[in-house]
Amino acid sequence: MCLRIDHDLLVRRAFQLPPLPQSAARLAHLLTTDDSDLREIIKVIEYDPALTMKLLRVANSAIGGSRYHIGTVREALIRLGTGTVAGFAVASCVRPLMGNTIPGYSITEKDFWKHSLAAAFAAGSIQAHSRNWTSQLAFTAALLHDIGKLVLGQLLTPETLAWLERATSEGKQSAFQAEAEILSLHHGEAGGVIAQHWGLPDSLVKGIVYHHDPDNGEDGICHVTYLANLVAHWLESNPQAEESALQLLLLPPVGPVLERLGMAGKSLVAVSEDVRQGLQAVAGKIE
Amino acid sequence: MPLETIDFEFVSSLVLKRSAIVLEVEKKYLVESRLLPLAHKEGYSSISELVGKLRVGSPNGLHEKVVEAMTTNETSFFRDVIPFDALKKVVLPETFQKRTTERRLNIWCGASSTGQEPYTIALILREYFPNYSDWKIGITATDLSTEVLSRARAGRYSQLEVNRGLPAPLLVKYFQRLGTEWQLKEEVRRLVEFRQLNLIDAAWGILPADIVFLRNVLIYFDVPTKKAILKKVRQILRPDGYLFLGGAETTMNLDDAFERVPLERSGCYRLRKS
Repeated sequence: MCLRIDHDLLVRRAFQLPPLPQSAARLAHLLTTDDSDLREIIKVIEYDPALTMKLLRVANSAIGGSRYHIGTVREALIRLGTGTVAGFAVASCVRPLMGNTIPGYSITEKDFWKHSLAAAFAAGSIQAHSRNWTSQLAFTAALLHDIGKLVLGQLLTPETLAWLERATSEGKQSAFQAEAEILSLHHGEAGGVIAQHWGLPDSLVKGIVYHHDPDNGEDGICHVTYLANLVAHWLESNPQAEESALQLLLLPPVGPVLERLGMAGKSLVAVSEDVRQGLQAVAGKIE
Repeated sequence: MPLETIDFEFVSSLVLKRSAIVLEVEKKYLVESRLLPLAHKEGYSSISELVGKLRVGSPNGLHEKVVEAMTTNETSFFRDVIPFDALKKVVLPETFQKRTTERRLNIWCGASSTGQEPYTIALILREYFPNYSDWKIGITATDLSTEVLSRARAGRYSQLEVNRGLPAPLLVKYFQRLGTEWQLKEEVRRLVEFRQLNLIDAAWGILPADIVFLRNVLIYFDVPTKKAILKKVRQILRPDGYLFLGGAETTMNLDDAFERVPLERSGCYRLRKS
């Protein structure tokens, strides 16, 4: 009996996932610099007709009930911003890889994406409300932050799941802490390996790996994904619009993260509103 | 079968004495999750049987194995970051300056496990101190387990292992990909000599060292053994040398010959001037 996850097996499983189209990875790399060239970004996307088609479909979903129709990559970039477009482009390639449920985590694919999208919308809004610069890849990182569950979930046996359950119920650990404690690795690390297999940039990998312990990531993108994940979870547990997102400030880790991002606590209300609106726009289109 | 409270209390008191780690009663599940695999591995049918053996002695170093299982001290590259910053910014520059005449430096890394710690030191030397490549620099890394030593010598690490703490530029520069693994290049591997050593042996056969890394090792031992090990470290550490201990370790109340170096949270010690 061994509760620890076989690292080699996990890496092999991650590396067995189909690769991302080169254009999607290339797009992510273009966004690693502050002065990414819009023409170059358009060229990379348009060079891949399948990606262009998927992207336009997702982009039109994201603007929801708007009568405006996004017909070109340029329009998508101007309307949604490069960070969001890159996120949607990567996500449109990742989503077909998933089954109906995420094994081990008992989450449906639909709920998984709903949470991922909520975190991504939160990341975009956090960046808009933050005084400090963070990578344009934060939206993509937030969208993919839980991707490690795809592979780690396959390796969770009924026995390990029972221990994880005991760690959360008896030990009052969060699901992430329980993984780290019982398995000696967590889904953030597993997600990092997948992102590396897909050739995604290092800052994006960090944003995924450290979305639960941002201080270890030493990169602002980790604080964005961390807070975005918290906001997404909070909204899932408090779906009523009248619940104030300022309650998030009562969570002990939130204050220092806001400080690190140069963000006012009251901005959390606007962030949660942006997430609600974003999710409303894509509602009915994520099934 | 659930862990009996009396057995839990025995284990938590052993872990507290050795490693200063407090296991509250709600951590009973954790003790079970860590000790059940150990009990089976050691040929006991239950944790209760294993604890029964612990009460009367420590066959095959069982006390140490229990503490090790409970503390999960997994090694990683640049583990804890701060000690390696202190090494790079203060300890190595100062030591190189003091050894200008002899142009020789010895570093010993005790309980080196799968090699990430001594290789981190080798990477720092290679990357940040290239001007000293013609010095005679020896890094000796030791561990009790021949199994981990053979892994360490191979210098092959999984993607997860290199992700834990190794900066991407160093990975690209000093490692080569082998399937799903990464192997440290020969030019770095050859800087470290691995050999077996049991810290409780009477003779260590370690050359006088300028810098000693003995991190997260003392926590496994009882107080008399900690004292005996520190005494031997004192004998091999050169009078102006440096000792690095783990974050939860100290020489205080164990060996007054050492004093803490005021390098914040680095766990760095040196011998008091007599």
